[in-house]
Amino acid sequence: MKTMGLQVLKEFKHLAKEPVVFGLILLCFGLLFWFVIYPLFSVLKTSVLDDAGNFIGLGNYVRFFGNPYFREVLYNTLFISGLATMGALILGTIFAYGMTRTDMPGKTLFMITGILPMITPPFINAFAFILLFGRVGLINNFLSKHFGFTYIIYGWHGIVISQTITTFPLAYLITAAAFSGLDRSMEDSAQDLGARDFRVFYTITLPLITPAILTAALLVFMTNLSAFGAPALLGGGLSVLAVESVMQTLGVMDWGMGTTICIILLIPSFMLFYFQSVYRAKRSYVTITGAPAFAEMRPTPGKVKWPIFGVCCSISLAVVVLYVVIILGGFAKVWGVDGSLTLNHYRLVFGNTWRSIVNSLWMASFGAFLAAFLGLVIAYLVVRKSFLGRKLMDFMGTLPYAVPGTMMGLGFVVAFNRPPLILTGTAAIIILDYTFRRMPFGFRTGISNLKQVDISMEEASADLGARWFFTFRRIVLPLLKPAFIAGITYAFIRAITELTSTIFLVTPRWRVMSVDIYNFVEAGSLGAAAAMSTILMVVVIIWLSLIYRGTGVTVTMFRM
Amino acid sequence: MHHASREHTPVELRNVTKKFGRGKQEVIAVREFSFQFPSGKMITLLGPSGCGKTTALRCIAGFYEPEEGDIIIGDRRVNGIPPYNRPTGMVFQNYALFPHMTIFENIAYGLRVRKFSSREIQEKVKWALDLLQLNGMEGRSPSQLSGGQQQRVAIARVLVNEPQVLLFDEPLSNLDAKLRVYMRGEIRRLQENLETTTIYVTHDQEEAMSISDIMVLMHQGTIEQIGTPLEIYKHPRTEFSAEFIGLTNFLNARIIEVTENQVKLSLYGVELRVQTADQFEIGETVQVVFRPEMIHFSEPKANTIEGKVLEVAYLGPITRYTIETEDGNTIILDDQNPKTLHQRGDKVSSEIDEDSLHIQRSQKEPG
Repeated sequence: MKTMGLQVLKEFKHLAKEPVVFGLILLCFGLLFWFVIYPLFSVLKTSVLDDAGNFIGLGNYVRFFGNPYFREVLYNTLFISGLATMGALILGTIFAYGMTRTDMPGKTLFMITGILPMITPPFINAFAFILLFGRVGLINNFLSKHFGFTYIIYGWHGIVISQTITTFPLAYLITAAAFSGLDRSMEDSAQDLGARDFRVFYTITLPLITPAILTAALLVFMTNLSAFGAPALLGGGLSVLAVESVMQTLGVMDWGMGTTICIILLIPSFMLFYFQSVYRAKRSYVTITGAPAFAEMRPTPGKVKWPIFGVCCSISLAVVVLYVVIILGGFAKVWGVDGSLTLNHYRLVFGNTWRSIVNSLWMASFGAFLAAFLGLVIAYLVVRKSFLGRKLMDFMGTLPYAVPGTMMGLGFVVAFNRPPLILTGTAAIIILDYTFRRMPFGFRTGISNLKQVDISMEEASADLGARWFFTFRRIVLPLLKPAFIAGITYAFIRAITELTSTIFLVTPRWRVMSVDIYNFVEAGSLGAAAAMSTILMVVVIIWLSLIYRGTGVTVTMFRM
Repeated sequence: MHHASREHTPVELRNVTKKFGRGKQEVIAVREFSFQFPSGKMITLLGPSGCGKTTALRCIAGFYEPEEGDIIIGDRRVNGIPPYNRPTGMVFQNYALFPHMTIFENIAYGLRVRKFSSREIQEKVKWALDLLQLNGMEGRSPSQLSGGQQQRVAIARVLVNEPQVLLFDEPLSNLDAKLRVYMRGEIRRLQENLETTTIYVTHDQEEAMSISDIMVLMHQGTIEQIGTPLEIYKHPRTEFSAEFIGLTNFLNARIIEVTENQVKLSLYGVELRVQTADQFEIGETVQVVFRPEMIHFSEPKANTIEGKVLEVAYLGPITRYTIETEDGNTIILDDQNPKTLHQRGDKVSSEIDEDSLHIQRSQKEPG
């Protein structure tokens, strides 16, 4: 106890010599407490209060589990998320195997279609499914005319299909990283010992990437659990937890129940995180790669290659069709009824909702900048400085990643609609939501970049007489530039396409594109929704290509 | 338990060429490689990184398919045959132990593939564990073993399948210096006992010299020289060979007399007689090749080379002098007598050991 006290004292003395660092640590703690912990705590607090603000313990939770309707919602959520996760994992793993381990043709195209669903609003393909399989959907019109039946997408199966398409890229990226990180000599060695291709796959390759598949399963499942857009659009009378928490709060104004549902939604996520960390601690395969001088792709046997190619083609075709349909939808007079071309929807969108486009652009840019910057500062402090509460800062910096968007949005509403700080109805609350919700990505990227940069460079700078700030500005920041660019790009794309938490925060004055698209679809203005979606996709693609042209940095869209 | 791999299997590469990449990025990793690896011997492929030695090895194992040429193991041409059907066993540079299996399961892997009964598997794994002194390790996982133990497991995993040809791809490069020396002795002893044809890739000339029956020195995808360690050491055929095997002096001299199997030449006015089978003509300029330990200090007399000490380096058992000759060339001289200490700038005389001289036609280093 005494030595710990001494240790703290020593650290404090050390920090006192670097007042800028000390100030930064205090500032970051303050921000994280105020904009991460306090909103989440507010959600928890609201869930144990009644409307009048009296403490009722677990009353809301009892009410939740006592009600057959809510139990049904919980069951739906788990069932739909489970199915969509399985679908995404199977498609993603096959896709990843094909891309990394075979010499199949068309990889460049597959790479684009494998990423596209990640850089567009997660609910946009649900909307595309409505355009195809809705009541006036293109394919349904065709089917009923020629075959006398239709496939209506609304219902659990629609959500599962849509979420599978939305989340398979995540599974693909994680397992692809594992496949390419896998030491080739393992498989070579198994072959050398006499094992044929299939045996090598199931005795060596599959067991070795199982941890990555489980990680993917966890992240995909969490994404599916907290999905709001697709279930809300395709539910057709069926509800899931994320949708229900919005309904209970914004719809029937039962804040106690809405926040309770958020907390319940959080439980499976935390449990899965826990199991995964236990599992990973038990078996993580660190392999040192002594790659052969030339990594040559050996010809893949046709009986393996062509089925995988077929799967990849089908997924890619589906993705391409979905996006083409959205673009077409923006130019069709009345979707499914009158197919003649028109610019009316664009005229309408640019006329009535011009403000949303402008808002989305500057708020997402500003929020993304703050997210990337703050993420890097916290990463720097956590990796390079030693202070009391470093682990806590690390935890708080990662926390928003594990929290469903609805909870973050709801948290901001309940925390900042009352003193000491009232932010509801302002642009600031949306920007801060973007900042803190997307900060973990820049933070984790910063951590891994910093760990790769030898501290001796900073020591050399100090040795040459530079003070802390000079070193930070001239040495650390330039080295962190790639992490910053990755962080800001990711945050921008995720912010501008974000729906689940923003939907709580928008007001008529501060509307944004993603929420507008959702409202258009809900109101049945499919043409306007399609036009707005197209504009949003164009914005994202321009942003990405500017970043790529300007810096040559390609951005990984996930980080574990 | 007896071991059945004593049947001797030669390996032959005929005109093997392996290329990577296409068009402008094409790299020829191995070019027209022809050599018959004698059966039951330890043959090293030696050379700097990028010389094609690992590529040649991987062609034999079946991981690369050469564009041209034949690979023959025993009396069978194995081109096009996948690795799992070749009678080779390869020890990888990073061991490639399967991290999700125990040591026992790692060693038993090849036996399970070949569908041995569980009793046979027990017996054979036991034999391999004994042979590599790994008893008691069978239940552990690879990450719980030291580098040297992992290396033994990798060897055991290969030997248990009784391969006709053993392949080693820089197996010792992940071990520390002391263990490396110990393990190479172990590998050599194993090979001598089993008499399995063994092809061993390394970039370490000392390692190669200490374990090889035959060394194949490679450079830029081609064979530079083949011979026993002593042959290559004493008579490096090219400057590359000489320099790769260790420091060597190259000096120009002129032939002044030719008799059968012997020439007389003049080096800085010093007359030397050298045995040679090659034909030379009087007046021709040749390169005299000798190693630093084949020249020693002496009193100035008729047959000595005069020079000035340029650098002195104390290397423990020897002192290495760099001597500048009167025409500005340098000679390296390793002196094993600690009493004869010369200083920088000292004028010294030295005498070449005629018997260990080697001469060759003057040639320019490629590039």
